[in-house]
Amino acid sequence: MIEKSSLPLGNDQNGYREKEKTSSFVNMEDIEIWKQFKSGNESAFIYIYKTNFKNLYNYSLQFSKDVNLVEDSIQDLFIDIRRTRKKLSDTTSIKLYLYKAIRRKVLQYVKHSRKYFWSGSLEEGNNFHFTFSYEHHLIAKQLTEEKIERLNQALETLPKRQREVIYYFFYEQMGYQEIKEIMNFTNVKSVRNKAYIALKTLRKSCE
Amino acid sequence: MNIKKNIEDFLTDEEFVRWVKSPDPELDVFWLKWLQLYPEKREMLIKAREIILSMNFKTHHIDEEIQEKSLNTILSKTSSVSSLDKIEKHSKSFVFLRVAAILVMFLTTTYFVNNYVSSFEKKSKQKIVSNIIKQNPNGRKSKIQLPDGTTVWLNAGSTLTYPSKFTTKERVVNLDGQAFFDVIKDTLRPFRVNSSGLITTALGTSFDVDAYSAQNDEIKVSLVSGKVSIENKSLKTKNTTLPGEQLVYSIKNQKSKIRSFDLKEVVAWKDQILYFKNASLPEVVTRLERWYGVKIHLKNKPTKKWNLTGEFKKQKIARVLDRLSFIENFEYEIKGKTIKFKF
Repeated sequence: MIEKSSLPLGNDQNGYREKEKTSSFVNMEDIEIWKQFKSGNESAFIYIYKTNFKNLYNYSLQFSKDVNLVEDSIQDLFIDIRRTRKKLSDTTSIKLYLYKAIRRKVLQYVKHSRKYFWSGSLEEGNNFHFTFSYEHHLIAKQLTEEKIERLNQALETLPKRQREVIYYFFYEQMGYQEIKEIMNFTNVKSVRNKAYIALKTLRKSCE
Repeated sequence: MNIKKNIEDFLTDEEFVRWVKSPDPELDVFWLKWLQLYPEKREMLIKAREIILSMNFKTHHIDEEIQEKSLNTILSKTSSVSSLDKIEKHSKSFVFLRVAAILVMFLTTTYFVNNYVSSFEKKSKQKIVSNIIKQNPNGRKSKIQLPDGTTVWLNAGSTLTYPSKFTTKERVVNLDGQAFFDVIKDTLRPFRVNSSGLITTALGTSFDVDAYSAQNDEIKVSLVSGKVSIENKSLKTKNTTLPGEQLVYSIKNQKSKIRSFDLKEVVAWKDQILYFKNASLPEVVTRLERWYGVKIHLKNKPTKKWNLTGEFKKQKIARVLDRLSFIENFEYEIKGKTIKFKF
């Protein structure tokens, strides 16, 4: 962890809150933005909404391709946090807070609609699917087109939960601690093990 | 963490991934130094890096418009902080008001498609840029957000048509089938539901419109509380219903009467409850087909007339049929989406 005082940003800390109450959230720590939102600062809310909406949308699509369901979930999440803002706990990562909440909400809505729409007309989500593609700009080219092909085949065999870990780790660039919290793992080590097993499968396929 | 035997040891290293995905000068220094210490791992490191860079996660392009529209809905539903505080303080009376504002409308029509509908549509179309059509097949229900923030629960086998943007004078939607409306209050722009020529006007309330083009020739409008006007311009009638009353209009003899009604019977569907009250066999069959998106065939006839009352909350069709067949004494067979009742 880098000490705050060692960052050049430190000097501005006292001044900007007075001058630019509405536009300086970019340089603010999550915990501070969240506190402002909780105390009723509407521009803090708009900032939180705008910086997270698209990520939450893409993330929710992993669980359901039903855009109505996804949009409802996100709206309901933000309505919930606005209505209960005073009682919300503090957080050092707004993204993690919202991801945990939206995951719960979307899964709940999906489960609910599955029970309800017996016909099973609801589409499955993207299920954390990803692919490997041949990147021409890589200079060393350890990975040939053929190896990429084998990687993709190996991907198909990965269980959904392993892919989910990979998604957070590589796509969302979250740490093991954060993944543990989102997916309710008992400890960080088991998250790392999950990732390790998945990546071992992939690595072996392109030896 | 610095002992790297396999590629996966690189791939599971948080700092390594961070370096590959979002490099910064400090991380560059660190990994270059690391390579100087372990030059034999160079190839492995490069391969691990390539694996990460070759990963493609599917992302969807999301319109700014969706983001803005959602934000409007969120803000209109929660309003400003000061009014939120008020709501918190008086939450009980707030809930009461919402419940009291429920208006229920029940219509069933067949040959009740008249000139008025088309003239009405022409009038409103002049101002509309584009129409949005939401159609649910049998077996599927959905929740829709209108441009003004109004929430609509659309029942199975129903179609809702509305403009992408409401005019400044009124908010008009067309409905074929059944829907429950939770209307955002806007006294300057009345909210109108047009179903087969019958116009229900509300200024800000919740109500249910049932307008399946079915066998019945009756139109029913039920109001729990609040006020709403129901117009039929081709027949030149205009009625205002009072709380607890249901207006029943018969198309055959063109007369209307007012009576009381069962609220649960009309709005249960919205709360995921399949509710029957003194239902006949044909009614049960129609309702099941619509609710679950199935086709029901009858083999022989029941020995006595059905008069079924019961409710099923979030039940799978097999559970419902188990209970029905027990009560009404018949056997059933499910093959995909086709169901046979054997009496």
